[in-house]
Amino acid sequence: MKQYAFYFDSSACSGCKACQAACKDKHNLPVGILWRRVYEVTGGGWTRRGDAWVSTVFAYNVSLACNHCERPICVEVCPAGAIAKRADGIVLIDEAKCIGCRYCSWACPYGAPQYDEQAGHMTKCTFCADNLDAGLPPACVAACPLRALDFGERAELEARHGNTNAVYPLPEAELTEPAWVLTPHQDAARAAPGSARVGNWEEVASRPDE
Amino acid sequence: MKERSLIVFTIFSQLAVGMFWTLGALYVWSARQTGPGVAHELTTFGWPLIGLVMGIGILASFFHLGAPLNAWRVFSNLRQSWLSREILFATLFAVASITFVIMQWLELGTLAARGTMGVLTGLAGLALIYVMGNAYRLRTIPAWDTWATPASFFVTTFLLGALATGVMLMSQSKAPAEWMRLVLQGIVLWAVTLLGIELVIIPLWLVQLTGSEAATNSVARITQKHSAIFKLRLALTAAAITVAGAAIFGLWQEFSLLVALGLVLVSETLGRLLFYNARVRHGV
Repeated sequence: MKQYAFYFDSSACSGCKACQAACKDKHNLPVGILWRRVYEVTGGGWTRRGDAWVSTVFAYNVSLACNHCERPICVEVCPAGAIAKRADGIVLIDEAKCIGCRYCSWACPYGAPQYDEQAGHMTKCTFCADNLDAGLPPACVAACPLRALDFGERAELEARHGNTNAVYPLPEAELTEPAWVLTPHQDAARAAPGSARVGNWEEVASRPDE
Repeated sequence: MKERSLIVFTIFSQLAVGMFWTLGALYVWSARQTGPGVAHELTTFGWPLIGLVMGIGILASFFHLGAPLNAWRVFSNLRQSWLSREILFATLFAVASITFVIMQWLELGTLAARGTMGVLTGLAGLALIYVMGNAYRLRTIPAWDTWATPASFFVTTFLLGALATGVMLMSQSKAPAEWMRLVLQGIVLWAVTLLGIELVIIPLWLVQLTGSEAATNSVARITQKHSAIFKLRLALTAAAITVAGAAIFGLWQEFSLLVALGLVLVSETLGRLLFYNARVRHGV
């Protein structure tokens, strides 16, 4: 079965957030909703070595939208059957069917489904399916000036870039089997709970404890 | 607190199921002691209240929805979604309990038919609590995905049900004194046992929340960020045990059940508030 996926090169991302802005612009998203978000991960500090202080500070970015998971928990939990996975792997919300219970937003470990207070229903990344139908790339991919974002069939992306699909602060991939491929930043190996944190929670739309 | 309506829905539906089971057990026990006629007379007053409590719970759940006009769609994913199943069983229990009330009040059907309806309603109620527990056992939320979720829901169900039924019974002046004494004693003993179980479940739940950032954040939210609510919840539970325990020894009997019910209602509401606040998922 076909499975579209995003590719993200964390080592190339400068955190300019053109992807985030392009997505918001294309889909005319209201204030507070970001289908694609750039998480700024920071960690490390200063350690004393003899008479010198050595910096172990590191930072990297994770650009994240819906991962159109192979085992999408949003589809599983939605009581209204409003979320479905298409034959090409894209997970879409039928806004006309959504009851606005927010159960999917509780469950998704990537913060993808977001509630539109005004409309009274959930919204999420559509992979710019309309663009794909027109032979165009998703808006976020097209906007990235550093070519840190790409898209394609998951198997092809994995063949080119490997199959890493989890990095701090994202969860173990086993939970939902996300369809995305990642080249981690060189410092990602140093990041773990306690040694790193997301530095821009106030900016990104959702956080795990809300 | 966005989950106010869900607190009302879960607590009221658990109260309704608990009342149904307590009243049902009382009916069966009384029928054996005094015959079905007297048992019917002593318990009839309570059945309509169950429907009312369940109705309030279901009504409250609508306030949680962004698009309530689409609410009829909640049964669309019974194959996968525990939330779909929860609403199905809430509806089944509500409809069955109203049918049972009508049968009881109008004495429709044979005793066996009413008994069968009663058993089916009770089973629908138990299924509702089980399914409700599973609806919260999301694999991405470690604080909820534990045995403690359904266990505490069942304890709340029987605890609130027993105390509320006891308080209702005390307003029944026509009940024989000896019957009343035995029933209230049984209810209080049962409630104290359940409160004790609750005080065991809470620490067991918290100590197992390790091994992930989400789990430890949940514990921090309960024991640090909301420590005042947590301590109050524990104190109210201990106070309810003391007050109900006093009633066993014949002290302050006429008010103790009412006070215990009040303490437990507040304590359970705070417990549910903490439960929703413990919702920290893996990831972002």
